[in-house]
Parts: sequence; structure tokens; C-alpha cells
Amino acid sequence: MLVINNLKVSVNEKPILDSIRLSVGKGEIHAIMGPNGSGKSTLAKVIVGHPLCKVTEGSMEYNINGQRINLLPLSPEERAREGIFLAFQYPMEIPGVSNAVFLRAAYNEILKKTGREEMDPMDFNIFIKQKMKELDLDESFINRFVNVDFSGGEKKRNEILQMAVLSPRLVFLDEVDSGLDVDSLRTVADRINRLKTKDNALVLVTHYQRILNYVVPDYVHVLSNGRIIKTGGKDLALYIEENGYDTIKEEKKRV
Amino acid sequence: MNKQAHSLGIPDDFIRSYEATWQEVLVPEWVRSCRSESLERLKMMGFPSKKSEDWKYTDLTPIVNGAFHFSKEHSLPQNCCYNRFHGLSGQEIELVFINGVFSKEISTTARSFPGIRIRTLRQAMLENDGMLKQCLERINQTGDSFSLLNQAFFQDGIFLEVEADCRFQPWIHLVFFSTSSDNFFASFPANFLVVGQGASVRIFESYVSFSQNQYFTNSMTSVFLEEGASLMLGIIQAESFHSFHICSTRVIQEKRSRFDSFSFLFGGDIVRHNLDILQQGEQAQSYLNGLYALKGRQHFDTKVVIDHQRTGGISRQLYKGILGETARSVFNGQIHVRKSAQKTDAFQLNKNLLLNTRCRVDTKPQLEIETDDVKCSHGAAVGQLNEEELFYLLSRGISRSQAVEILLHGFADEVISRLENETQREMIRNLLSGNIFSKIKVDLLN
Repeated sequence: MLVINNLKVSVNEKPILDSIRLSVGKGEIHAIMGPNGSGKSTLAKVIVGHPLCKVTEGSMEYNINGQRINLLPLSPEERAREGIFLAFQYPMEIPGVSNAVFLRAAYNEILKKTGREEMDPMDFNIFIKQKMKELDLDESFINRFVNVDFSGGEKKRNEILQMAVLSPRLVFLDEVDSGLDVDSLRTVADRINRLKTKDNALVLVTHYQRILNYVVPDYVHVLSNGRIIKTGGKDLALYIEENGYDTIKEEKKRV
Repeated sequence: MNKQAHSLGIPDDFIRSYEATWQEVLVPEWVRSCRSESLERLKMMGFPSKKSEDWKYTDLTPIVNGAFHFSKEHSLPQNCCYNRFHGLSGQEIELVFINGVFSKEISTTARSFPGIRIRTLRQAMLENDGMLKQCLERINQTGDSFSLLNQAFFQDGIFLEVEADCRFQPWIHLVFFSTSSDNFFASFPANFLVVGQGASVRIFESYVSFSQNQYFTNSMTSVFLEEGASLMLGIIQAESFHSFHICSTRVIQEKRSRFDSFSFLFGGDIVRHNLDILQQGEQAQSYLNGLYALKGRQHFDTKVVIDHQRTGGISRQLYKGILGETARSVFNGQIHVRKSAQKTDAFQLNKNLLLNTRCRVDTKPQLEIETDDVKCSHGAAVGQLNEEELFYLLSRGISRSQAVEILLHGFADEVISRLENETQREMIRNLLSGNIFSKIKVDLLN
């Protein structure tokens, strides 16, 4: 579904990611783990086309419905419409814009893309209330301004709600568990698992393995200083939890 | 200081063309003498030049040198589709003025309402109304050049009296149309609103045009709020982009009265919006809100003066501007707190969103505080659209042009959401989308 080859990325002229190779297949769950400053968030952002993340070398290919799409020339909005989604670590607060307006605008773009008719506010209201019910979200959510005065947990759940509405195919979740207490973590993880199908793929970007107890990855990649230094199964996450990132860095050096 | 340097002389033609019309309307002697007095004072004062502190950012020469005259057309042109602002009032009471003069045919005043008296100014003048005389004399004492010009030559308008304790529910909508087929026509509407003790009323003034000609509107609304009275006064200015618009609202507030103001400014080439509030009684409250959106070479100048004269007054100002292309805006907000105005609570905020580096904003708060025991603060901000907010919307598949529009609406919402009526909110949003954003956005998309 996603094939990244030899990718180099700079932010403000500073090289952040180096020679990234990553392949994510349909139906898979991946985890990208790494210490602070390793380039995890940059990797997530470059996938969705953040303007500050400049690709200086390499390729990103997205395979969907038998089509091979080169992501590099696509704008952020085009990538989103192809089904690529990032749940942000720090979702933006947008005063004056209600969740309803925001979500409907986004959802209608998906409908347009697939040749369906746009939804009017009334129908959308019914549709979104159903989605919110499934996610145990309060109805007032819909009329509040996007993320404004939301608690940490509410912001994360709002990201998951967007994911539920847009039904993306390739989902990056950036530190989706940060700022959540154990109960919220379990709820959010449960929602994510429910949204997982055999046709989509998830990539969890995380510092800690905690979330991986609930959303179990097929592959774990360790990112350090902008490079993927190790790839393994779910046990790798537990190994990191016990031994820390330094051990893996040391191993890498010895090799 | 040299008077010449601070004022522009008044061209004879400027006066003569209005004077000719003046003779045609039958008015009592006291109206004539009020007019003459204003005219004499205007001649002494002249029009302000850019050297005058209150006008330093706005060049009035195009207005002063324009040979404007009153139009003789006072009906709507054929095939003119007029329904744009009907959403405002529920059409219950809608008084329409065409090129400054009341048009009975398209106004809606079918039934009379207890506790409230609405007359046109011409009617009230003909009836030689004592109350109107008092109002005129009261405001005649003060005023800048343009209010004097209005007082000397006003054509028509409304004279509204709300009886004590009448809480009037229906919206009153005043529509001022400029539609003449001539070039360089002018209209000078004047309104007087007297709200009695404990009474309340809600009014919207709209200034609209279908004309692409150059014209000049110089309107003035004088408000008298008696003890415990309240008024909500909205203004929608959607004039042609070739027009000059000067709009003055002067408010005198007695004890515990409340004044809510909304100004939505969209049209016009050179625009000046004056709001002058005198809190004459204690514990008066003034809530002032403004939203202006401009593009092209439009120039908007907003001046708000609040004079807190008695104990316990409250004032709140929120003015927000959206500027595109090479537009320019000025905000000058003055707050005076007199010695006798202890425990005043005044706050002012002006925020501007610039969509192009060639736009310019001058924001000038002025606080004059003569007493100690007050809460008084102000803030001003000039910024651009937040790139991260924009990216957040894009990353959800929303097109760039729609994302920009959503963010502009979000910026404007802080003002619009304060309107209590959803129909009005929707109308303002539509005006923004239709007229303003479509063009302003071009800046960001190129």
C-alpha cells in the first residue's frame, strides 16, 4: 500500500530523515518507535505533505485499488482524498469553526472524489451523530469549535472521529496515546481497533510501547537520528520497553 | 496652529448644489435656522485635511472635490430585484429610502404598533414636532464637519419614539438605497431614535446600492436612550465599490441604559464610520461590535469614541477586519474616563487579518483616564492566516479555497455569533461569502 524508498527529508534546510525504507501492506499494523527528536513526527507529516517537510531525495509510492500513485507531486488535500490520513499529535485549535462545518466539508470532498452526491447539513447531522454514538462522544462535540477548549483526551478522540468519518485507507497515528489516562487510552485503542479492517493499514508513531498492548502491531520499526535502525515483530516493542533505545543503538553500532 | 493647514476649504459649488434642493422642501422656520447654523459652522470649520489628527490616514479630497448633487430619482429602477435584505426584519417593519427620500410604495408599515411611533423626518418636520426640535437642538451643539454637513442638508430619515416601558419585539429595518442613473449623486439621511425610560427596541440600518456610478452617502443617526432604555442598532454597509460613505452614529445614554451596536462594513471606496457615545448617566452599558472586510483599493476608517462621564459605566469594543489585495483600514478607538466616572469598566480589542503584504492597517487606541478606580484595557493585533490551521484543513481533503473561506468565516464568527438572530447571522455570512471572500481569496490562491 505504501512503499517508501531511500527517502531524505529536510525541515528548514536541516536534514531530519535519512534513507528511509518502509513498506506497509494492506491490512497491516505497523509501529514506528523512537526516542524524542528521532524524526518520528516528521515521517508522519511528510506522508501527508506538510509544506515544511521537504523531500530532498527518494520516493514515496501509494498503491490503491490497483493504481500506483507517486505521492511526491500530490498536494496535502489530494493525498487526503486518496485516503491518506494523519491523526496529529497536536491537533490544531480553530476558533470560530464548528466541528460540524469542518467535518462536513471534509466528508463532502471524499463523496465528490468517489462521484457521490454531497450531503446537506441535515443529512450530515444524522450521519455524524451515528458516528459519534459509536465512539461514545457527547453530542455537543459537533457544535463546538474545532479542538478549542478540548481536553487532551477529547482532542485525540476528535481525531479518531475524523478518521471514522473519512474512512481512510492508510492511517498514521502520531503519539495517539500521549496525554491519555489508562481508561481513555483503552477507549481510544478500542475505537482504533474497531476502525481497522482488512482493507486499510495503520501506522502508529509512538515513543512508548504502552498503546501497542492494545493495538497490536505486525511490525515494529525503530527510528533513531532519522534512520530506521531496526525492524522486528511486536516483541521488539517489549524489548525496547525493558532495555531502552540505547541498547538498540549500541547493537547497531557494533554491527 | 494655522487653520488652513488643518482644513480643506469648502468649494462653493459643493454647497450651492445642495442649497438649491433645500429650498424645495417645506420646513418650519426652526429647522431652517438649525440648518443655517450648521452651515455657518461648517463654513468656519471646513473639511479636515490629513493634517488633522482625527483624519490623518484618510484623504478626503475626492469627496470634497466631487461635484455631488441630490438625485431627483426616488423610485426603484425597473427590473430591479430587491429582496436581498428581506431576511433581516421578517419584513414586519421595513422603511425604504431611495436616494435619501422615503419611498412609501416599497416600505412595509402596514399596521400600527402600540407604544411606538415611527414617522419620516419630513413628516415630523411638517408636523412641527416639539420633541424633534429638542433633538435637533441637542445634537446641533457638537459634531465634526460631516455631521454639520448632514445637519445642514439632511433630506429625510426616520423619527422614532418608543414610549416608556414599551419592549418592542419586531425588528425595524431601515433600508437606504442608492440607485440613481446620474453620476455624482449624494444622499444625506438623518435618523433620530428616542427610546423612553425602560423601553427597548431593535433596529437595523442597511446601506445598499445597485449603481456602479460614483456617489456619496453621508448619513447620521442620533440616539437618545433614557433611563433603563435599551437599543440594539445594527448597520450593514454594502454600498457600491465606487461610492464614498460616511456614516455617523451618535448616542447619548442615560442612567442604566444599554446600547448594543453591530457594524458590518463591506462596500464603498472611501469609508468612514463614526461612532460617538456619551455615557451621561451612571451604570450605562455600551457593547460595540464591528466587522469589516475590504479588498481592491478600498479604504475604511473607523473611529469610535466612548465618553464615560458617570460612575459604574461599562463599555466593550470588539472590531475585526479582513483585508485583501491593497486595501487599507484605520481603527481609532478612544476611551475617555472622566473624573466623575469611577468604577468604569472599559475594554477595547481590534484584530486584523491581512491576506496580502500590500494591505495596510493603522490601529490607534487612545485611552484618556482621569480617575484611579477604573478597569480599562485595550488590545490590537494584525496578523495573517495561520498556516498550521490551513494545513490541518487541507490534510482532511478540504480544498485550499474552501479552507481559506472556512478560516475567514471562523475569524469573522467572533463578531457574527454575537448577533442573537440566526437569520441575521446567516445573512451576514452569505454577504461575506458572496461579495467579499470570492475576491479576497484570490490573493491566497495565486
